[in-house]
Amino acid sequence: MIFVIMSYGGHRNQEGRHWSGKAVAFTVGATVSGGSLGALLGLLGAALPAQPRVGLVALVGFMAVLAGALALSPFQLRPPQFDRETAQRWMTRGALSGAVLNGVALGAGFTTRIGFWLWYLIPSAAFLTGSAWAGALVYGTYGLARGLGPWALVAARALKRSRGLDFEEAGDWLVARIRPLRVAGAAEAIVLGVALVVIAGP
Amino acid sequence: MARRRFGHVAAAGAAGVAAGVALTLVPVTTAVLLIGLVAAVSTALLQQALP
Repeated sequence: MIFVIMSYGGHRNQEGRHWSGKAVAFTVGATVSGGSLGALLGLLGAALPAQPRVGLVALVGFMAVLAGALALSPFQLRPPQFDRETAQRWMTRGALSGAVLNGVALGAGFTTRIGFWLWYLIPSAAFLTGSAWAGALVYGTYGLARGLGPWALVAARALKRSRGLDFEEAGDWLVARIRPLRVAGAAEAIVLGVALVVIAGP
Repeated sequence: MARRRFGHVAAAGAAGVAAGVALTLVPVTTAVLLIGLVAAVSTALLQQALP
């Protein structure tokens, strides 16, 4: 994702633009994409009467616990997903367009690799709030948090420059820790799932 | 190893019960919103590690 904004040791898709303009386009694209989907899901949820919606809260919570437990089990069940990155051809559509398209895709989340069962709680929660603004807040926060990724990596690069590290190494450092992060994600799915079951009540 | 995994699930379940009990103090919609926000931020952070 960072390579849409800035290339290491080269100028792929740079078009002479400063990285910050592309990072803004990426962040805005991701936030608007997530927020719009969340608003839509919240509106759909509002069409459901309150009582069955509370029943669905418990069901989603139970599914989250089950998914988290299966991810921690020896089967290490992976979430259903499109196991791919964003389209490479977007890189040829211009620096800003490429950044916006990548932001929109990653802010929505489901068109690329999801990686963690926990992700499914985001559209579920947006739907179960039964409110357009609350749904937009939940899913838009996800989009914003993903959209801030390049800023964090560029900041990390600036901080680590004195030690001779760069954002590629920061990315590699994270990728190398995917296994414990999967455990953390599965455990969090269980925590939030149990919490959903409890708040739905008997 | 299996005992360790069971320990993870049990600890996560206990934390979930505690979080759920705390969230019963607010309306269900607000609780779902808060849980959604936690899931949103943490998933986005975890996904930075995807290859």
